[in-house]
Amino acid sequence: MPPKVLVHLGPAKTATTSLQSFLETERLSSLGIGLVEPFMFKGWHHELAKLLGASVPSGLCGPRTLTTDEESVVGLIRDSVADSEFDVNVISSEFLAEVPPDRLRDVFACISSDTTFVLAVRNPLAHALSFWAETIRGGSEIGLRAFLENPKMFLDWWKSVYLGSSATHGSRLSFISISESSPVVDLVSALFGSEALPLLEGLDPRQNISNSPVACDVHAMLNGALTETPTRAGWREHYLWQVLHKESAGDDRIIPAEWITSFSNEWDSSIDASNYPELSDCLTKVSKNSGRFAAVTEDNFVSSRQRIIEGVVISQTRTNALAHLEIDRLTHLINSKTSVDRTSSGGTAISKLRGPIVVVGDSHSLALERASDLLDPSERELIGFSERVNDAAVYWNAIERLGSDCELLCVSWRGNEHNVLSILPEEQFHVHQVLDSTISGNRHESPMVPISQLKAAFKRELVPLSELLSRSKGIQRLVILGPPPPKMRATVLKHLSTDAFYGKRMDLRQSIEDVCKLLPDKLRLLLWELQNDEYRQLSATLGAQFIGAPRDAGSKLGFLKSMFASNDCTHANERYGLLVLKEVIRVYRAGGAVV
Amino acid sequence: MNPYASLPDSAFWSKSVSSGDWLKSLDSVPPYLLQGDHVMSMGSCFAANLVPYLEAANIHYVRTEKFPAFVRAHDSRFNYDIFSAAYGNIYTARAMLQLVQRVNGRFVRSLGPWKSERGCIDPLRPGLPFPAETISEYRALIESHLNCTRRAIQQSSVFVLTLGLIEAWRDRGSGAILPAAPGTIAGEFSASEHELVVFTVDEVIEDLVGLRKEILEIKPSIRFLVTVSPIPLVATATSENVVIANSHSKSVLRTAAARLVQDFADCRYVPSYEILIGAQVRRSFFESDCRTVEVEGISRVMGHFLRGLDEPKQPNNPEVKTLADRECEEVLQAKTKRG
Repeated sequence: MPPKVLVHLGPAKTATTSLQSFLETERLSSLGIGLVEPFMFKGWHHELAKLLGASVPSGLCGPRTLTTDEESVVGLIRDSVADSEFDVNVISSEFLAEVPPDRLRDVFACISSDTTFVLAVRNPLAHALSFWAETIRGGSEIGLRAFLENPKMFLDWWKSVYLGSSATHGSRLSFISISESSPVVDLVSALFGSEALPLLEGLDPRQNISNSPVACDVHAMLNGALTETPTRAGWREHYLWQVLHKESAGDDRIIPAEWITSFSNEWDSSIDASNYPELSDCLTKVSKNSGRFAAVTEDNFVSSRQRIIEGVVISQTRTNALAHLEIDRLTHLINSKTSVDRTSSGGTAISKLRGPIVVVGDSHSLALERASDLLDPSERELIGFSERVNDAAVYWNAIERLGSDCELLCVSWRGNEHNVLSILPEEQFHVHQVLDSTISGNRHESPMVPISQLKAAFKRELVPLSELLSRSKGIQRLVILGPPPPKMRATVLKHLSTDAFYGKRMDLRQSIEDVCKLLPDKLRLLLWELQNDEYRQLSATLGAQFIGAPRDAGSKLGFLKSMFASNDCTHANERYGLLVLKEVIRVYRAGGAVV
Repeated sequence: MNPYASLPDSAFWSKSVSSGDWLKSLDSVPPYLLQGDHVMSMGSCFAANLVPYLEAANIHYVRTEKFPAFVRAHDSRFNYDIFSAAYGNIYTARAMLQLVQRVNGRFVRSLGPWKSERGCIDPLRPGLPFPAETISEYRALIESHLNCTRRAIQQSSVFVLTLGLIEAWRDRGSGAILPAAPGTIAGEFSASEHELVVFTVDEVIEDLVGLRKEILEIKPSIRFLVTVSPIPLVATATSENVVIANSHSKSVLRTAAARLVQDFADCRYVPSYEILIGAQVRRSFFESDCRTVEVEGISRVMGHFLRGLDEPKQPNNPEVKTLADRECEEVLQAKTKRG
């Protein structure tokens, strides 16, 4: 018997992440169902689709974009399926829906002769709104109208999913129609049968398993929207903020009624829905709901937050009791977030404040926090650490209040950009300053980036912090911390090799250096130094004290000594944090860093 | 019986234009590109416009001077980040020839840099948003750029060149053709150092033949597609009226292109100029300034250019409108002149 393979083609915004997260809990193993292993870790499934020819938005692959050859990928899947203990092996990637159908057929024919392709469909309009919200959250500036009218962004893509895939796969392709009120239940039920449904119970929504993707979109938008710039996520929250507060309501930033009508008509006229009962069902729903959507105007979209939720998105689920609860929750969220941003942090983000020095920051501040237990009690009581919250925008927004509540604010902002550039770079490059004297510039296979361009890129990263600190008038004394030095090449490679994906690649008799294209050591050090220079310059501009990596933490070559390294590719440990904290306390006691 | 009797409809104006769809009559020519081709392009800003269309048609556009997104410049006014390597718009056949000669180590006469507060400006790429900080970096960046250009040629199966202008500014000392008049984008104009040149048809032909030879030296199997930019001159530094100068310029370029195609089997002409200019077009594909090609016009050209490939799509980003609006160096030149 060939192994059974179920290829879940997505598409995006049809509860694919929820499904994948559910499969990762392994609860379905009791039913003999499992996710094919190479794609278990989040984010990788985009790469699968990309490698098979889908046009995956670059932002979804990010620095993990790989140059894996297709043969190896197919081999990995085939091996995983062959070795699987499950009766049904699920392969899931939302952008597989975009892979040309004949390509899908050819690839998966190599893996199993018992393969079924499934595709989820939902109300096209709700689908469109979700997709747009996702695009905005991903960093795009595109307005709703432009998004939906741009063929490549949505319209043609969605049509091709239905027309292209169905044309080739015929009976091997199944459609699953998911409702807006219970998408995951619908998806799981259709894929694995009703016996799988009890296994959904008791799952934590924070595991990315949400039963209401539309509500989640609104939730996420508002979470980001109701913070003032600057935020860590940059302009896009501000953009949504503007939409909601009518500060900049361009025509394409609201949902015009006439467009809604034309969009619905477009679907009716361009797809032969009669061939696909599920699709037909979706279109019927759109048709029924179009009046409700068309009723959305600038007035009820912008001026009434409650009606935003009810009128734009949740309206389809208003008969569902759960949806009412969701509305209540979101309404509460809006009110509370508004008060956070209009008054001050209100204590939302920060609670563990212990002394006159407060440390706030991203991942590099963890080393300092862990080091606080190593301080003498008299020193320990000087320092408070901010509590981490998932919403980075809210977190950083709270700095304004912190500044006036402490004597010295110590900020560790980002700092991993030099690592992002140099570990698994999306494009190889070199710079003049670190040219190997034995190699002429002409023999380099990668282009040379001007130093001024690198500086500008690092400076750009600090603009939000600069604006935020400039706006925070209450800060009395300010320290800005630089990131720790990069780690030795061997250390980085060692940590990368324990990563599931790279480890598997190494099994294919490839060395980790073949798989991970680190930039040369000298260049990695230079990038770190350039980033530090920008922190230093910003500090000088603001009148703050810059504290870089302690001299003792660096090796002769300039890399982070192993005794100060945490157990990953980029971060320092508590011993490093202790050195930094000591310096912060010294500056505090000396009365320095006065803004 | 007469020599015209056996000719196809496309040979007759009356049949292919007056009473027919002229563009359709071009359908009989073989496809210019094949699926799997690797394409590089060089030339005026119109050459940049085709890039997103090529990529939307799944044609591999060769890029050898591509930086990580994190450091990529957001200022693309001068198209340096559009082309296969960061040479930006190149308007004349002579400038293209000189670039490839530099790649082959033949045109090595010293020029620049122009020093400014921004750093060391490359006179041949004056609009680069991030110039070198030192002389040694300046030299290294040029070396790297030429290396990237060489690799682009090596990796390409098709070289698309778009001819834009016959007039240019030349550095008297080195003979180098400058992409823009000194003092417009950067540098300072000096009548003793810089001179206006207007290339004759013979000179353009000679330059194109030389360019082909230099490129074949790097990639002997490459094919050439030659086009003439339909975009009118933005300004002329000759004493002619700009419309007269434009007509002269396009005539010279079109003649030179015809000669190249006639003499070399590896060169083909793509009638982008004729698709947008002339009585056969019936309507204008230019915006109200009579110079900016409408997106529809570009699509019309690209629809013909990409015939035979997967169904041509619109470029996959909303930038398509701005492509038509993209400022050329020559525009800036004119603005400076006005201002």
